[in-house]
Amino acid sequence: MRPADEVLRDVFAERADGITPSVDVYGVFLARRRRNRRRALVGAGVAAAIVVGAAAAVPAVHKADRSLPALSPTGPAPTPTDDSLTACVPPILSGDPTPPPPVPVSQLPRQHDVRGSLAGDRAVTDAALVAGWQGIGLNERGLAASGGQRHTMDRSSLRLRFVERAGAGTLALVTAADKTGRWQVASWVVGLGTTFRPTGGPSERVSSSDRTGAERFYGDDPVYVSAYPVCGRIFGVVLAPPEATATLLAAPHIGPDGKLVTVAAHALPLTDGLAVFPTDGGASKVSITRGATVLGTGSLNQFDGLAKPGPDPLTALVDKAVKDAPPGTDADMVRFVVQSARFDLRDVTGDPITGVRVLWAGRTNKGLPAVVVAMTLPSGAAYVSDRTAHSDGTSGGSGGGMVPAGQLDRTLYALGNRSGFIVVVPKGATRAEVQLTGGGVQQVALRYGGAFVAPVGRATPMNVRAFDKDGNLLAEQVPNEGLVHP
Amino acid sequence: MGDDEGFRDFVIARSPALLRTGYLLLGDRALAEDLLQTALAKAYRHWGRVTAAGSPEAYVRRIMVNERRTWWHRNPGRELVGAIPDRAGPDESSALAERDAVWRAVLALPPRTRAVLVLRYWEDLSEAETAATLGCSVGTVKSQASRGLRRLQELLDGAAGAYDRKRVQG
Repeated sequence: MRPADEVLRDVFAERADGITPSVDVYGVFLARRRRNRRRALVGAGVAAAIVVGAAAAVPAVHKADRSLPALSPTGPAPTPTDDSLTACVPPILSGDPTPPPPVPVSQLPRQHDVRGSLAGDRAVTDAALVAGWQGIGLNERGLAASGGQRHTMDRSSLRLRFVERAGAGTLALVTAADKTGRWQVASWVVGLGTTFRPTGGPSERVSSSDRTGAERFYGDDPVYVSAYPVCGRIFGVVLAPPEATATLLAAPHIGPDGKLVTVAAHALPLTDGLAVFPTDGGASKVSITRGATVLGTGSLNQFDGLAKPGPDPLTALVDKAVKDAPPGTDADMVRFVVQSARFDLRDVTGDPITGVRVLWAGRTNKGLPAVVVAMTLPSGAAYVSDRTAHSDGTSGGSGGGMVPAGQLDRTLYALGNRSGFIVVVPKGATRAEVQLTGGGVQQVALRYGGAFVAPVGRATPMNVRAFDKDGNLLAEQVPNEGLVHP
Repeated sequence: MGDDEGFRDFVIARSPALLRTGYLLLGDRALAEDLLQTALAKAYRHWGRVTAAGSPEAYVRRIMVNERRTWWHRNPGRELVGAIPDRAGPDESSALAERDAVWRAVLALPPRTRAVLVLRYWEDLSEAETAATLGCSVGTVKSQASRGLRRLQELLDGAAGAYDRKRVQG
């Protein structure tokens, strides 16, 4: 029997082998930064690249090409304007702006068993296939440019998985493998009429050990769950083997008590193993089963409402919160907290943030900014998160949590870490103290209803207590406890 | 803001390795990509100081490890343990079954223990470096590593016994 550490090293090496970025990491970073800066983005490909779902697709983010010629290889077809097609594809990001030249459809493998209501329209399927092969070429070139391994894609493996109407546009998925069969690439194709544009897709190494989750779109028995933006709306996509059934779990909500409200699942109708359906985002999940066997589970929660053009509504909420905050509030830190919270919440609920309020803002004992921010959800419950700047240029927080509806001003907050913590007292409190190990008591100098409390000596804070003007105890709280975790 | 060109170079050069670490920490590729992006965003805010300190990769890794712990605490049920349909079957070799079982056991470990194992046996960090990354003591690293390895060893011992029994019965 080999020692556990030896086996462990082997297991780590085996599992990590083949884990390479499936997208242009720096491009995604730039896109995410742009989003954080509230620059209006049309479409939602950015969020698609910042995948959180358990088995969601990771569309590659290559710059779409405004000058891409319309592809109509099989005769006359409606020719939408370039602008109208651009409005239907994800936003232009970084990467290679020029796709490989189109290969005539006669040189691509003839397709069988294409799914979707448009599968019988030869003009559509041909155009989608041509664009899809371009997308696969784009993806490979992008990976190579970012330092990834080069692959020789096998044209004969090209498969058009489906072509289906998606609102005002059309959505298709094309897959291919490399010559070894161990590297698979998919390309989304978005179109209007018979004009299609490749818009990136996932790619990864295939092995028997990583056939996990709901991303097995190779072979003739695909299991695939994803979502994609088309013409400003998000569409869920489910591909399942014959005789499989799909179940949709709607995005869970957070109730007034700050806990998740379980939403009943319902059957998702599949036509020939395919479903393409509009979804408003959130943490929806799809489970695919055949008989009693769960074939895979995938998430649709990549988009966070960013498919719609126009300014992000959260911007106005944050600006107002900063305006109403105590003087000297670090506005950038508040924005950072709200953006981080948005990502955190997106993982667990489809609920949008409907209100932002700075519960407290001030400075640490070293003069560095610190904030506690509450973000209200539709149920009235609020997500509370703190952040404190450190002297090494970093910042940190306690992790945050939910506060039940109506309790925001009645709660005593004590959030932080070993370098100190932020105390925010409930309404009506005029004095606060920290009970320390060894029996000591540290008075808190409140300002704007709170304070940053730095540790004194080696004593550990055990409890925080808040009192009203008559000396009555209003609340007490163990640091970093008391918040609800949905 | 930071040195954009240097940051870009760093991301291109080091993101594959960091992504692998994230994957081993989380057990899920998509989550690892998101974790890496979160860590990069945080590092970028102070990139000048991060690079001046000398070890940007260690800095980003530290953010990933600590962010990851926070995520787990918030959403302990999010990880895909047990949701994977393809399991090592009776026809597969014992070595494959063993590695598969170990990986599942790793995913089931408490987050801090798993982080210690990844840092020690994947990143090959010393106990002191692991402690610095996690913000804990060397003693904690030792105890967590010992506990994690012991659990894996128990699993391996049990698996070997079961396999031997099956061979005898077969």
